[in-house]
Amino acid sequence: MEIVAEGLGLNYGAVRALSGVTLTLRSGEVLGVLGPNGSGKSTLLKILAGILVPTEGSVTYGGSTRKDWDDRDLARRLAYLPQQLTPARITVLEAAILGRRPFIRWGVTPSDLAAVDRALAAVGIRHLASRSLYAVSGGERQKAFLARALAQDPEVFFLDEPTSALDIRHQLEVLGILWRHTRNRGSSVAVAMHDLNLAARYADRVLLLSGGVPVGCGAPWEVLTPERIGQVFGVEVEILPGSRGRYLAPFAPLDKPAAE
Amino acid sequence: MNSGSPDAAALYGATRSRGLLVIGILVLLLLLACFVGFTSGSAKVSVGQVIGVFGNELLPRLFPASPDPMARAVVVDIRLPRVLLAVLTGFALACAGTVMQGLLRNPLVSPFTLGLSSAASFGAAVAIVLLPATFVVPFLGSGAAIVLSAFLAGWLAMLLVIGIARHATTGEATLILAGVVIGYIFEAGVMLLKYLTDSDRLRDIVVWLMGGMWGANLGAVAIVLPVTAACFLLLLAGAWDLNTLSAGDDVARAMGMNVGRFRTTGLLLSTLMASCCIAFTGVIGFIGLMAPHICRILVGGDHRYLIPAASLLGAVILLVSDTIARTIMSPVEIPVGVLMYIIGGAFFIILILQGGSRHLSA
Repeated sequence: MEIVAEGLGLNYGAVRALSGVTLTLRSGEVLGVLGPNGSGKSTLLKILAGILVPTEGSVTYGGSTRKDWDDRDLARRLAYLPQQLTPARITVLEAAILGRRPFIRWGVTPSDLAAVDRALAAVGIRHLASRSLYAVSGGERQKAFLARALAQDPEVFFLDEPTSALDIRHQLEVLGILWRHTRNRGSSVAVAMHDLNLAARYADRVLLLSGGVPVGCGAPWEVLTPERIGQVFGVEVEILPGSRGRYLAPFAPLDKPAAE
Repeated sequence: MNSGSPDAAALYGATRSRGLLVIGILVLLLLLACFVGFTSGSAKVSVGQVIGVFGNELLPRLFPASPDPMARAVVVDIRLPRVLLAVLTGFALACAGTVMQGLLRNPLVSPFTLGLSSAASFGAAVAIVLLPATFVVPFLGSGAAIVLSAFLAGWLAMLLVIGIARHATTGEATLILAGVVIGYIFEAGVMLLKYLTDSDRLRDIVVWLMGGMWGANLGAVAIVLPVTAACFLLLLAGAWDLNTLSAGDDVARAMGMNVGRFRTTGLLLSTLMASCCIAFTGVIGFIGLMAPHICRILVGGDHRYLIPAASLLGAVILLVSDTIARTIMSPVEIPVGVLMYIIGGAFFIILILQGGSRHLSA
């Protein structure tokens, strides 16, 4: 399903959080949403996921606005993973079952449970299924929420820093799972990230935000130039050639001397 | 790699069976407690007489023998309304508490957190102290005036809280704080009335504040029963939405839920069922807070099982406490709260010490 956003802007009271965002999220692509803290990444994802109503602009899902969709029908196709994960008094299994919520009336069917089982296995926490969300680590909790999104088997994922609590190996695993999901099932992913190298490796395109305004959108290494990163993040970086592609190495904040 | 662990279906099935088993056991316990309630008291009525009385009332063809009129009067006219009111009140308060804890995602919430008990107490105190001077009491009778006044004041508090929370930034913390503050304001009103009034009326207020099944009659049951049943079914129908809410407001919104409307509707229904009961019984604490916690330990966090289990447990706790309270020092009745708070509190401390406290963290 193609999602088209035009001229999105949003004010939180007097604060301008986002303005002038126009983008198309194509079927089967991974879009990395990048930018410093407070640049509007979360706000953009929440608008796209239908959680926030934009002050101006519009979003269409497969050509129709939210109003033209049946709530439940659209909810089946979109999965949202927040940055702040509220731990709840439920088990990992119950958290993952919530992904089937848009398909469930009252009873949970065997096919729902099969999808949940596959999702738990995919992120490697099947053995934790009976644990309380309080009794697992932060990374495991993040995986439980990811399993919820995978169990839903949506057409579009909106993921707000889905790997922030994971170690390097699990970051690569999780992004690999999502990347394969887009290739195998034609679903698309919009993912807010802080790690520019991971974004460059897994995203088909990146959108770079600065102060709520888009400053670049396109293939990762075309957007992530040292000059632009310097302007947006205030950091001096070098882009180095590696045996498996380019690599971005940060050195120091631009206005402060590098630590020796 | 994880082939040794049970699959999701097996685990889900086990949780489900456990939930249904707990609910089944609670139903049996409740029926047993009802029988004990019918047979115990200062007038001696045997189990056989109870069966004879109800058999004759409900299935006169199967139980043609007309029962002893004394037994009939004791069981049907005195004990039946009292047992039913205790069952309904325990059921409603525990159901309302479970739903409110889920709606506000806070384990310290009870039906009274949002100022309901203070406001209802204020309403009752106004009826006791001020209304006798007006035309309302001669018109309605003082009992009915207290019930109506307590009910209306409880609703006033809830509407104020929801109104305030709407104007402030939305958030569960704001809502809870608004409720606590409204509660204090009504509490001040109760204090003032207690201070100003004479000693007879002061005693009436104190008795109302302690809560009890003194006011039980079939008229009260006829009002409380349909309200409790309707609210319970409507709230149970929202069980999946309550489950979804545990993942956070944003996730629930992304799943197509209208979170604000769901929360407001849920709070209003819970308030309706709780305030309807306490208008007749006075403030009955503890059940609305503790029954959900105990059941969360027993059946887990799925509201489809949690709501019925907690409601049934609330009914059992209140009925057993009330039966003991009216028989232990017979013919003197002690307030039901005295027993329930002590026994229930001790029970809960044991649960916490045994590691149940994990279920408390929010």
